[in-house]
Amino acid sequence: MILPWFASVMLAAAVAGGDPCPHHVIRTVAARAEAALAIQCAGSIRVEYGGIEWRPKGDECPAFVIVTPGHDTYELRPGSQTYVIAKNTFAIRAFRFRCVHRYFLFFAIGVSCEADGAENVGAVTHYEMRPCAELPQPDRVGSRP
Amino acid sequence: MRRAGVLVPGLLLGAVLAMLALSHASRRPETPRPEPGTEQVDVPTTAPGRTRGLAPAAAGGGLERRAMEEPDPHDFAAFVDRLVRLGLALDEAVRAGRDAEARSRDAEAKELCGRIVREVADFDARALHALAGCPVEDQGQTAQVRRRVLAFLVAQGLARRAGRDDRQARRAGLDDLVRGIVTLLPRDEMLARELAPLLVGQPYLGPAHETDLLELADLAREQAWLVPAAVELLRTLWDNLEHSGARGASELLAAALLALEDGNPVRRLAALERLLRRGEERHREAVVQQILQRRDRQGARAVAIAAAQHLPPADAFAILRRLADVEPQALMPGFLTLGGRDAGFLRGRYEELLGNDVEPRLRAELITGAGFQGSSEDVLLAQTAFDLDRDPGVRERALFVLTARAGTSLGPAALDRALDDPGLSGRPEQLGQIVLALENLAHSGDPGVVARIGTRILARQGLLPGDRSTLERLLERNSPGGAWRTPR
Repeated sequence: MILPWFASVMLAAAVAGGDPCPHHVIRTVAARAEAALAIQCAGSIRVEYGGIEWRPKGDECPAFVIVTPGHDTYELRPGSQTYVIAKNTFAIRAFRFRCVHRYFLFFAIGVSCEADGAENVGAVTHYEMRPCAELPQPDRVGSRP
Repeated sequence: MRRAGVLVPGLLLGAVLAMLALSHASRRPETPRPEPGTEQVDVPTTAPGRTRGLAPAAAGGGLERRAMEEPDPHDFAAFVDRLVRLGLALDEAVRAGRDAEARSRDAEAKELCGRIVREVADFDARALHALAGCPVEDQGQTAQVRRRVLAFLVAQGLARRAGRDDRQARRAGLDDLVRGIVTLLPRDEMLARELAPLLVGQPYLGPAHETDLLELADLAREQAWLVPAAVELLRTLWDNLEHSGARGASELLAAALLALEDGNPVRRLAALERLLRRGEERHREAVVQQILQRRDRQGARAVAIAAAQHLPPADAFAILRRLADVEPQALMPGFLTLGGRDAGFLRGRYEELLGNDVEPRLRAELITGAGFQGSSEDVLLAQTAFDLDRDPGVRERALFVLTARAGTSLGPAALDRALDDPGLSGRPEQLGQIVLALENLAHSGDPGVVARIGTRILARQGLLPGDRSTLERLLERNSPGGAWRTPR
């Protein structure tokens, strides 16, 4: 909870200083996929989620691929005269795979890397930036992440 | 799919393939000698000409005619067509569960491969050449099977050349084919994806390829998709140099330390991993220090996964903990990997940190890393975290575990409690997380329970617009009888 805490501190500081504008700007975080525990297995798998397409190297079958969707987070930029509001919550999703051996064939066609489920394991918040001139009521002030 | 117009490698490839063809033109194929760990053709004893054709029902089109005919020993394309046809029939039989037919097709394929090895000179160089000529755009099933067949033949050739008795001849023949492969890699991403794994982790790369791989590393600066393959190849080369005695372990570690300062991402990433996996404590410290100083997020991700996969859990944990400041998002894959190896270790660390009420970010990762392994102890740990941890971030992670892995038993109660607790549902994005946790429950839970909890969330003020849409879609999918409608 570092980010919300930081935001609220900045908000308190801004309000205490008489400036209701938190001077937050958005920062785009690219979608990312991380795979781990790959074993050799035939078949072609593909993960498409959160603005990214991931494919394994060759015949690799990862135990899981974690995809963090692309999103806009925020950071402080003094003088920006902007604030941000949360728009969406995106799931960090783990896609699980397993290597299935149907036949122990010479041709590696009876072996395939197959999806074994997907779970939401965490979340990221997507923000939108607005000019402080449009700041609404005090209770909505300041990048309530 | 990107295809790079790399003129020099193209010319080099032509030269290499020509050299391969010349060097084998007058040589009779030798009996293959399997090498441990390689999947090599066990050449059948069936005499040439006795290979069975495909059943008429399975054949079709121009390919059919070629597959039905006995391939001319000099017609490599005819052999490949026939293997492709067999591959397609085999695939169909496997998908349809026709076990006996699949085994029969497989035996035919094995026999035919044996014939290719025996009868077609330079079958591996020809396969490599044919693979380079396959149009990238063609993604049809036949084209995919053809690419697989050709890559398979190249793999057979590598294993066969590596298995030759005459050490000098073996190295020369193997080096040429390996160079041909390395030279092809920058041509397009699909080729790199197919060919690089034939060399990664295998004993084929040797001293003759050091220059080739350094050139590949240079090319990868401009063609970022080459980086992962080039890193793995360089790592394999270093391993091979060490195992063959061509370079000493300390010499390679010293080179890796130098490469740490290198601006080339391939050399640097390969060095990071080598120092981490093969180095001593001081080398690992150098790696971590450098990542911290440079705030190198790419390096942090690579090292987090490598440490979690290869180091003893306590050492890996210490490294992950230190990398958290540079790249917090590298932690989750690292902890999930470590949890797959030793969830009990992670449970122990979580209990320690919880007892001292320190490092909440690390506690959250420990809950994810252990909890998603799914044993009853792991789920119990998530329940403990949900009940006792004071940090909302940790409890949110526990909620994801409980809804994904404890399903109908603990998930609904945890969601209800989260909605009752202002510390977990007081802010709009926290409600969004509860929606995403409800998605987990929807995979295993009772649709009626999902609808009840979903309706509770929907009634809450402050639900973000995007999260409301997600929830409404979820409820539509989970309403009993599909009768749920968005309230007006």
